[in-house]
Amino acid sequence: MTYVSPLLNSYLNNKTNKLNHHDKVYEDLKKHANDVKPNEAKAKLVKRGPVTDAFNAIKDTGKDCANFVKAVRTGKLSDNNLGRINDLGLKLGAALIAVFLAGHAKTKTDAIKQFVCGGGFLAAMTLWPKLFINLPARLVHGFNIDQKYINAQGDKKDFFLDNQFLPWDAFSKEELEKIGKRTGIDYNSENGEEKIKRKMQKTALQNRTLWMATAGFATPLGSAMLGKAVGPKIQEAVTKHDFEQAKDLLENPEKLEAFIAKAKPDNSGVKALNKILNSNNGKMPDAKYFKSISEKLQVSELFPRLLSEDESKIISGIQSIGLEDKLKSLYEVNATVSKNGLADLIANAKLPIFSADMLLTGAEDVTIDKTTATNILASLGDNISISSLRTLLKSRQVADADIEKFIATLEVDDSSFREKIKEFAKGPLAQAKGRIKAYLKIINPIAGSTAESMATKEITDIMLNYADALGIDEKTLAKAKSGTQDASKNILQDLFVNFFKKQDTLPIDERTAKYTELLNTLYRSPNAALTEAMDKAGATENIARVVKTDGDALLEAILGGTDKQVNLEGVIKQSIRTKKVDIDAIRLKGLLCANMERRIAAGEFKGVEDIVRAIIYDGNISSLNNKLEVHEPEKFADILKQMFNRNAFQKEKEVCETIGEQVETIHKTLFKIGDDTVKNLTFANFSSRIKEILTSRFNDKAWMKKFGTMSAVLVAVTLLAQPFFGKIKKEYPEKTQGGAK
Amino acid sequence: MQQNTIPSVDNLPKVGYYVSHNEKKEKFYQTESHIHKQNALSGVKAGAHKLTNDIFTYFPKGFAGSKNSDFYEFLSLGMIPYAVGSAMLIALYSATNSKFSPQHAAAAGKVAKTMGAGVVLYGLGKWLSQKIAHKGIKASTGIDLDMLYINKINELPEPGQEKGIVRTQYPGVFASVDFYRKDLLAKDSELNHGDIYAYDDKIAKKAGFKKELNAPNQTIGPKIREVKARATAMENISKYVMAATGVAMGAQKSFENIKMINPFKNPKEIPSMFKSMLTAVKDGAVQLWKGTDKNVLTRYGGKALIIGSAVTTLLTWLVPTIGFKTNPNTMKSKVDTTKEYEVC
Repeated sequence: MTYVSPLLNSYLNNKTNKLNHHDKVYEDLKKHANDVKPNEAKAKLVKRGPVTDAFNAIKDTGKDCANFVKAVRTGKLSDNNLGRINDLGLKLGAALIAVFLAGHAKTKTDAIKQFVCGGGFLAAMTLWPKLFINLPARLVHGFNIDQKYINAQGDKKDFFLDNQFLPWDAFSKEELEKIGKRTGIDYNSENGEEKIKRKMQKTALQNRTLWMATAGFATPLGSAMLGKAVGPKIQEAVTKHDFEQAKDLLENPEKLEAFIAKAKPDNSGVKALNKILNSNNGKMPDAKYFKSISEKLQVSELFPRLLSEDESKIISGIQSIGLEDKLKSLYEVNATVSKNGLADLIANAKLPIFSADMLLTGAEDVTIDKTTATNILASLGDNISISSLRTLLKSRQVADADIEKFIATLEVDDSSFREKIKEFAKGPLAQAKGRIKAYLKIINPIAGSTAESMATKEITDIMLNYADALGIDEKTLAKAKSGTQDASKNILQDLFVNFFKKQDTLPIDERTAKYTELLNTLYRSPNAALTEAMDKAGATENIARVVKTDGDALLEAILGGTDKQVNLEGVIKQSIRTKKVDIDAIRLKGLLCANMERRIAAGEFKGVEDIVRAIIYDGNISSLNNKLEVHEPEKFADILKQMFNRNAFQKEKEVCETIGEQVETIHKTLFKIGDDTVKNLTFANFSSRIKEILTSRFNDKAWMKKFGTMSAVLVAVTLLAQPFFGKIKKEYPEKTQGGAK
Repeated sequence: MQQNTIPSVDNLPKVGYYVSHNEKKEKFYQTESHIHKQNALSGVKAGAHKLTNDIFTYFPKGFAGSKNSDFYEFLSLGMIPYAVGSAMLIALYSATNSKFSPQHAAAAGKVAKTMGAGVVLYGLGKWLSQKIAHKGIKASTGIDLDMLYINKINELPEPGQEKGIVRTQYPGVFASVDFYRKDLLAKDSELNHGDIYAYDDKIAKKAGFKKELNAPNQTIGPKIREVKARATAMENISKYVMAATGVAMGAQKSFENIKMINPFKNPKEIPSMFKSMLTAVKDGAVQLWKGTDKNVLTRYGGKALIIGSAVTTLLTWLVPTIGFKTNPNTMKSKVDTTKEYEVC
């Protein structure tokens, strides 16, 4: 019985008194004096599954944001929730990094990869412990080491977060019994409950330490593996998507028109151009001035991916010559000198005039005097253009050289010239550049040289096909990576030669069958969609929308070129055609090489095998030309005639019909005419391209060997460590029969 | 005649129970947790202590499932995945380079340098943002959020041991909002300033209280909690914005030109390597600000990140300070001195 003082007792028994708070507490104590028990457990375990996990993650992130606002506004937030804001910041930082690096990425594939790998990094951070530590632990030890619980304040926390503060109240007796059964400890045995708890504590601690040890390795590896697996697929998807879009535009003229019409004008060169324009110092400028202006007005720098660097330099060089003259005449029409004092300048310059009488009279030193000058200038206005001045002086029989010398001394006002050029650059030229860029956006996915164009994909696929058909293995790959081109040429040679050596042991019909099989694996039929798209991209009516000049003389000079062969339309058509021929040549390359090797193995070309092989693998005709043709031109021509004999290609014609015509062309021209087909049929850079494909395959294999092994070892160590955790036998030694002796 | 020497401190007989204040303090410091004198190297010393213990003590204890592993050790282990992960990111682009051809090795090496710069500047950005904000908060509120103390843990004996050892830790005084070590602050004030409220008085002055408070810990305790909560919330955002800026800077072209040399093979070249790193940082910052004309992101992304990290760091300083300063005349006292109260 609780002791209550008599005074209070009488007070309490007097029911008319209302109890204040102080007394109420006493009253409660008195009532429950004999049934004191602990409070209800306030901690509750959280039961989850994979679906609710993801949903909860989103909900929790929302809660974190609300908590952030609460912390800033009121300054009251628990440690646990403050720690969760750290995760929020981490996600924000990762997103910022991904967005920034994506903006800087050189290709669309790289940009997409930033987000994929960034997300993959965060995913690897959470999935590594979930899949390789928590899951095996659950299977081996029978409980969830990532158990979460909700505490009395309503916060969701990790149960095993702090090794020295485990709120066991959250686990009910039944749950501990269940876990004990799974791990082989009887709850009801001596120390049973303590043993189960100790085992759970120890296992969880060891697993979390393992997590800390392995996370540094696992997360980057996981993200890199994801990037390697997903990168090629992203590139393929991007290439296909861009190709389809470009094709669609080319097939619908209205869409194409609209697309080009809404292209943004490109003002990129205007600043530099203004700098050059303003660099003139008020006198008649020299040829260098006009040259630098004309260089700034060129458009060929827009084509680096379509043309090679050398080609674009040549073209812009040619185009700028014609442009310089036009600029100079434009200058002279627009730049003026003031009439004020001009008569004096002319008189003082003592410009020598040649008149027909001089021959007869023998008079020397005849120059325009001041009166004559004033007279002849009278008919002109206050500001005289240089071209009219020039005409004037010429009409007075002054020699060109003397006119040039005189004009070079004058003060020239070229502001209207500068204005005209600036307007041109900002107006028609910028618009033309914009149109060209828009059209390039259509051409590049089809016929460009970047990694994300269909043409590049086609070539890569053909080369990979060769690599697979010829059975390239580790040793070959290692040889390919060594720097020289000869190494890869020898690889091809070896592969063909070995193939035919193996054939020697077979009977003839089998040999034929095997050969046809080889040809079929080497040959890849043309990609009709790509060819069609390339044709459309090079069609005149499509290009016409881009190169329209609307009669602007300067624009015509830039886009039309002085020589019809280097106008912009021609450049575009040429580059697309070159790409087309390139692809065709690569496709036929395998058949050509097989054909030559077959004939060499059969005994043809005795003594000149090296020359034949050099032509067919290297395509380095020019150096061979120099070696042989200069010294033995007939021998060279004979070899070529024998090689490219249409009748020797019957077998190959069964696989590819068109090879006959191309062989015939070489036979006829013998490389004398610079025809593309002829050049590319043997040039096609076969060796260096195979080397590229093989090298990148080798690099991938070498990388995968090192880091794939590392990943495998990491996973193995993590999984194998699991059974060694949670051993508590030593801490609870068997009790021997004892007692005081 | 008796010698009339005036007894000096030195000749006093060592009899009795007088112990000097300093001796008491030293003994206390040896065995009890206390706040030590902070200087510029305190953080570095604590970090180095954590790192060595991570590898040689905390990991073995964790793997052995020791009862003595605590939350501090778990948090300290968090350094290791960051360091290992950074090294892995660099290795992914450099470890196989010896097998590649020179051209490919150079291309991969460039990415490795960018990765290296990125991870270093990431960590640097996180640290710098916190440091700047904390220094600002210390100046305006007097609370040093980076204050560390020496924690002496008496461990339980491990299986097989007779007695548990005494372990040293270097936690932060204000590491927890709910339970900041005000007991240690009070003890430190008592030992070093003779008054348990010395620290709270200092803070109260900064908060705007002109008169000395009777029980400053009652008023200042919640204020310190608020400052810590606001600062933590803000810096958890600002440090990642600055880290992102660091990574963005590391991705600039200037870092591709860093001269990497093997420090063990040619130690003479180490100064020039550092010089090339510094120029890379300088140029990288300029390149990040200027951006390139490719698209809207490249033109303004760098500027946005730099301004963003500056603004968030500034806010991390300002927001707690604004909440801290108070007009003492508006503070409500809980006890209304004009009313009468019944005393039981």
